[in-house]
Amino acid sequence: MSGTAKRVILLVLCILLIIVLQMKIDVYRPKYKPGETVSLGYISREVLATALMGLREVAASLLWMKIEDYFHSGEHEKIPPLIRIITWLDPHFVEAYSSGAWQLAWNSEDWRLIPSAEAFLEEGIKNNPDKYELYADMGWLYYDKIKDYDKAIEWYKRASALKSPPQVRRMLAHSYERAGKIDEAIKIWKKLIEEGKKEVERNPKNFEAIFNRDVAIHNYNMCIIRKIDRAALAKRPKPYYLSFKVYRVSPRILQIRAKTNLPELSRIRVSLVDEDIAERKKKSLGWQLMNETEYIDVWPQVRKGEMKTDIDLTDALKYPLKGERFILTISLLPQTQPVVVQDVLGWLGEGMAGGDVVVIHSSPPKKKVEKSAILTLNDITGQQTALIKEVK
Amino acid sequence: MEAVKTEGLTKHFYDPLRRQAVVAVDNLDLVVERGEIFGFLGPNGAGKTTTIKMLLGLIFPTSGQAWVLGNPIGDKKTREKISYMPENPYFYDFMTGEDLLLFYGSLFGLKGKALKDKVDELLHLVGLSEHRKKEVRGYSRGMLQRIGIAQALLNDPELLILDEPTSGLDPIAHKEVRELFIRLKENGKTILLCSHQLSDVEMVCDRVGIMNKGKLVKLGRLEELLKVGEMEITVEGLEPQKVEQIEKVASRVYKKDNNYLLYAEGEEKAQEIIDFVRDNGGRVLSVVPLRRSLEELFVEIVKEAG
Amino acid sequence: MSVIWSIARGTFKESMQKKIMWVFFGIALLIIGLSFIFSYFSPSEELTLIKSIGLGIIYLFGVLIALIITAGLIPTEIERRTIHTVLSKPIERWQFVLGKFLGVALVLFMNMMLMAIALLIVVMSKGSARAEGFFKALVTNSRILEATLLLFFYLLILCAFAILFSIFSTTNISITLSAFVFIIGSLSDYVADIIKLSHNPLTSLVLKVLHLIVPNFGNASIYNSVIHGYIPAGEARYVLMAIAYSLAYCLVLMLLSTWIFAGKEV
Repeated sequence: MSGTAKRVILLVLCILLIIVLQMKIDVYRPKYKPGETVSLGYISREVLATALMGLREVAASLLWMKIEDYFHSGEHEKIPPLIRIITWLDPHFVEAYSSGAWQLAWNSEDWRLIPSAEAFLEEGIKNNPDKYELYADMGWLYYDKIKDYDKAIEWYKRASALKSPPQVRRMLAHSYERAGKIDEAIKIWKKLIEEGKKEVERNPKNFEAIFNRDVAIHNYNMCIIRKIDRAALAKRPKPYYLSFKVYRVSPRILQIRAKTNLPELSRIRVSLVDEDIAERKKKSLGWQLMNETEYIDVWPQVRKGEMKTDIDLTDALKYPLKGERFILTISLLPQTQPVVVQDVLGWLGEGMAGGDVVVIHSSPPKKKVEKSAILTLNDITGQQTALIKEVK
Repeated sequence: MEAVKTEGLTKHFYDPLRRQAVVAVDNLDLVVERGEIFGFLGPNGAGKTTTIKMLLGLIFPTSGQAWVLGNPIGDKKTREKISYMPENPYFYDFMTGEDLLLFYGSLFGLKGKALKDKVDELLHLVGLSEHRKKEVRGYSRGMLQRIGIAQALLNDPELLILDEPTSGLDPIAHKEVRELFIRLKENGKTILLCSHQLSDVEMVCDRVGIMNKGKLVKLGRLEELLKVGEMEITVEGLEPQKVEQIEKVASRVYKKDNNYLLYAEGEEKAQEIIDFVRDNGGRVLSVVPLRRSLEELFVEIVKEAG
Repeated sequence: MSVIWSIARGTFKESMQKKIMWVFFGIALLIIGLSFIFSYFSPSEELTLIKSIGLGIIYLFGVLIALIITAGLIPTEIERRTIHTVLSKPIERWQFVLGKFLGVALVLFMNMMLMAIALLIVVMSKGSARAEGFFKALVTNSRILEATLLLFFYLLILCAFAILFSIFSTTNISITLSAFVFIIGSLSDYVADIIKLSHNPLTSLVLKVLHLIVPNFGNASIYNSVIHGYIPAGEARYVLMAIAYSLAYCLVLMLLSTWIFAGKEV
């Protein structure tokens, strides 16, 4: 056998040996790698090395794959810290900011994380001031979660000033509608119809163009119709009543039963806070305070004149209940209501007057229905089932 | 068996910048006999170093064949019996002189006491015993040459291939090296000597090969190559008229003090002149066959090539 | 073979002369020694930090020394023409390459083990390490030496690459190429995890093939277990397999190197 042939055989044998050994080694490798912990666990040496070598974006992308893993496996609480690291590595990773905020404000179902989501988005915006996405996300946060439509308008305005798709301006228009500024909304719808028609002329077969135009037309029409309808409501406002009873089912579990003539499917807001929250908010702010003073913020619906909801405060970590007295508030704000309810009540409560209806002096003026009661610590933590409060 | 034999040895280098092949060695047919000192000459770039590198297996011929000590080039066994001294000493300068020789010696397969003794002997031979513990980077030019010669003698080689062994040496060292070469030849060794020191070559070489632009342009025994064929006859006491008569036979005539120098081409004409001078009352002081110097031959050859 | 050994010794001496290596070595020892600053932390944290940083230093400087010393060996010989005198001796070309490789292996080994011993001394000097008794602590912490030894074998692969590249290119190019190989090879450990996440079978296959062929420098990182003091079952077997892998890889690279070098004109 020639020297070359011998060498080739030796070479091939070695390569096979390498492959076989590596496969065997791979069986043992996981034992030497740090486990799945929420801290530096997944920052393996390699990821850190790529990060340090200036390939931060690569490291961020590799870690992003882990996020998808967590979504699939349902370990959602592990997502925010990892997202924090990803955005630290790559501050231009807009999708990470967006996802992280969504995880905090919506998916966690813990409304006390909303300020964190806000702060996170703000940081994302600071790092990516020319991209519309995070401004729009902020707008949506205010629109859907916090339900502060004036703020939503602000953010959607900023988003639409940048290069952005039509849905951003559609959301801006909707924000105007909910804030009661109908004429502004109609202006935007008109503009969108114009643009939509032009676009369809240019690309008659383009589905998206047709869609944008038609949606704008539909919304415009609805605005006009509602403007007329709801203006009519203002001529004949009705009184609305709300009364409720608070039961203690067992220690730290309450049940609220309300009776009301508010329209079917109205969303009543139920909130439980420390009595002195107003004072304490003045002195300090931040979400630490929120954790200790605001306990419940749920939005149960009215069905057949009744609303019933259970409040479970048994998780002492989540609900420390440090104070002595608490304010339980049941309220309804027309702005936040679904369209069918607004058709009866008006955008800002134009169709409401008298009864338990209260006027808020803002511009434009808004109406709401609100009732509250004081609960003591004993009320909440007491042993037997009992009716604690009745508010008529 | 010849010490070195080449047949049609050719080397082309490809120049990527100019996209052409440079012919460094062109169809070389060369023989170096055993036991001779062969002078390998030529201007820089003539192809001498390339040829030597091919003989040593450092580079590979484009075509043609060659044998060293009867074995094809590149054979490891051959290299046990030959040695090489490079032009411009290229040695590990962080080693001491002694370490360097011990290192090279070990590559020859020498070891232990045999190696140590040989190193001692060679250091003494080249006069570097005092500097053996000094690092090579501190050696003067002359010392480097000497250590180079020493390492070429480690394996008691049959054939020594030496590239500029005497450059940078003082006259006494030159003489010592020449004497070393002659001693080696007397012991039956063969030396392939590349040198620009034409005086040394003239003094020690048996045969000479001159390369130019890759081709071997002159090859032969030194006396043959340098023979001019003219005889110089110094004459005294000849009357001017007689000199005129003999001018036809002589190729040149010079007057020097009271004597005449007559140049005759060939032995016959020389004999004629000598007879004439004697017959005409003159005295022949000396008859010297003229030689060119190697330098003149060299220059002439290079000029010829243009 | 005494020829290979001679060349190795020569290479060793040559490398020891290189100032840059001593600079690296000095800095590494200095940093390891400076770990006394960490007395600010609690004892167990301090120990973890010393071990982490110490091993990281050995890793970093090991890589630097391997790359920089090896890449220049053969090109320098060719540039300075010292190679002519050597190759004209009765030696095989492969003996030359192997001799160089062995020489640099000795240099690397010496450097790394000295650094590891220094680290071991620093660790043992901390009272917290000796809490369970001197000899027990020595045995536990000698895993520092084990980890360094394993790393040494893998850096040999890097040296072999450097030699391979330096045969047909310059010093700087071979440093760059070797560094590149090192990065890819280090990521390969991570690729093994990514394969599990990938949903595309074609991607998985390509990645799997790459993972098996590329030199896996990650095999050497048993640092986590050394720092946190746990020994996974079958460690002896793992280490032996890992070393066998590195030797097999070096053999492949040496075969290629000697092959190419045999045809190289000097």
